[in-house]
Amino acid sequence: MSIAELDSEELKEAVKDTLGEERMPTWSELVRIMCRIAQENGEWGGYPIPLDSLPLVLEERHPMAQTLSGMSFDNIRLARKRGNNHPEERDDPPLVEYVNSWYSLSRRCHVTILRVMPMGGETVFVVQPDFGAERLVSMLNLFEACDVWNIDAEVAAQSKLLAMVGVHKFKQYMMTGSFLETSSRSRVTYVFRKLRPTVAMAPYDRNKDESMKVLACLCLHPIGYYETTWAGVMCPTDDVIAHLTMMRGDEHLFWRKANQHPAWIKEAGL
Amino acid sequence: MSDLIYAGSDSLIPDPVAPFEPGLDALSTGQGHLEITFSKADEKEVQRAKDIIQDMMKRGYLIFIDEGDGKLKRVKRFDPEHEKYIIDDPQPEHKPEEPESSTGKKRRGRKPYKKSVDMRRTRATSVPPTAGG
Repeated sequence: MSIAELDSEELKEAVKDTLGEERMPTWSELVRIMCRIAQENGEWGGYPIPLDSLPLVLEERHPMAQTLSGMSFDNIRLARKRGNNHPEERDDPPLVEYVNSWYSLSRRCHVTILRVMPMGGETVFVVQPDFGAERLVSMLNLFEACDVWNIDAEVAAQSKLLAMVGVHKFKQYMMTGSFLETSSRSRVTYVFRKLRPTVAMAPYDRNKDESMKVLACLCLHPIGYYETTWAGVMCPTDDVIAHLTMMRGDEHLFWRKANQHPAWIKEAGL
Repeated sequence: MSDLIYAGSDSLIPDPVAPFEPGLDALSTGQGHLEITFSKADEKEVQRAKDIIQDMMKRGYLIFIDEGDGKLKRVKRFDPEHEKYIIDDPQPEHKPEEPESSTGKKRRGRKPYKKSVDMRRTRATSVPPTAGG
C-alpha cells in the first residue's frame, strides 16, 4: 500500500496502528508513520513529508515525485474547499501569463514581466525590492521545516561529518554553522554552511596574497527541498555531507549539478 | 561536564580517528542516512546493501568510495556478482598495449582505464539526485 493510494480512512488506520488511538498525530509522530509506510513499501530511502504552507519540490525520478511535488497541506485544503481533488485539476483560465524576469543589480530588485489576460493581454511589470525583510522571511520559513526533521538523524549526520572533517573543522561547524575547505585540485576555497548555499571563493590573483572573490554560491538539495527556503527534505547536516562528498569526489560534477547563484541575490544566503 | 566545557577542552568531542570500517552510508530522508557496516552485518544485510546499491545506480544516485586513504572516488558501475565497484583509474599501473592500426598511425586521445575495487574493503557514501535549490 503506497501513500498515493491511502485515503483518509486508511491513513487513520495507519495512525491508529502506530499511535494506538485515533487522533491527529504530532509532526514527529507523522514522521514515524511515514517512515513505517516507507519501510512496508520497501522504500529504503524514506518518504519526504509535506509541510503546511511550503510546497515540496522533488527530483523528477523520485518514486513519489508525481504524488508529492508541489504539495503542501494548505494546497490540499484549498483544493478541497474548491471541490477538486488536486489544485492542478481546476479548469479556471490563468489570470496572468509569465513573460520574463530578471534581477536588476543597479536597482537591487527583482523585475517580472506579466501579461494580464482580463486586460486584453496587456503587459505589465512588477518590481520586488530586495531588502532585509524578504531575507528574514526566508530564514523564518526554516522553522516550519524543522517540524519534519528528525533530531536523531541530525545527530547521526553530525557523527559522520566529524569522521569526514576532523575535530578542528567540526568544532567550527558546531560553533558557527560552517567550515572551510580548499580543494587540492582547483585551489578553490569552499565555505560549507548549514542551511545555506556553499560559497565558492578564489583569490583575485593566485600569485599574490590578496583578498578573495566569491565565484558563486552553490545550491543543491538531494531528493527535494521546500520552496522559498534553503531547507532540504534531508536533515541539514546531511545536505552539508552531500555537498562535501561531491566536492571531494567529483568537483566538476558538483558545479554542474548545483545552481550557481551570484553573491548579491537573496538565494545566495549572504 | 561544565568544568570541561569552560576549560575549553575538546574531550567532549569523540575521537574521530576511529578505525576504518568498510560499509555503506546512503543519504536519505526520514530516519536519517542508512548505515550498513560489513564487519558487523550478517550476509542478509550485505545482500540488502548490494540490492540497495543496484537500486541507487538505476535511480541516478552518485556513489563515492573511500578505500581507507581518505580520498573519494566516484563509482561508475557496480558488479553485484563479484561485489566490485568499477571506478576510473587515474594512474593505471599497467597500460594495455594498443593494437597497431592498418595505417600505422597511433590512436589519439586518452583511453579511460577502469579499476575494480572490492565492495567489502571500501566505505561508500551515496548522494541522491538533486532537486535543484
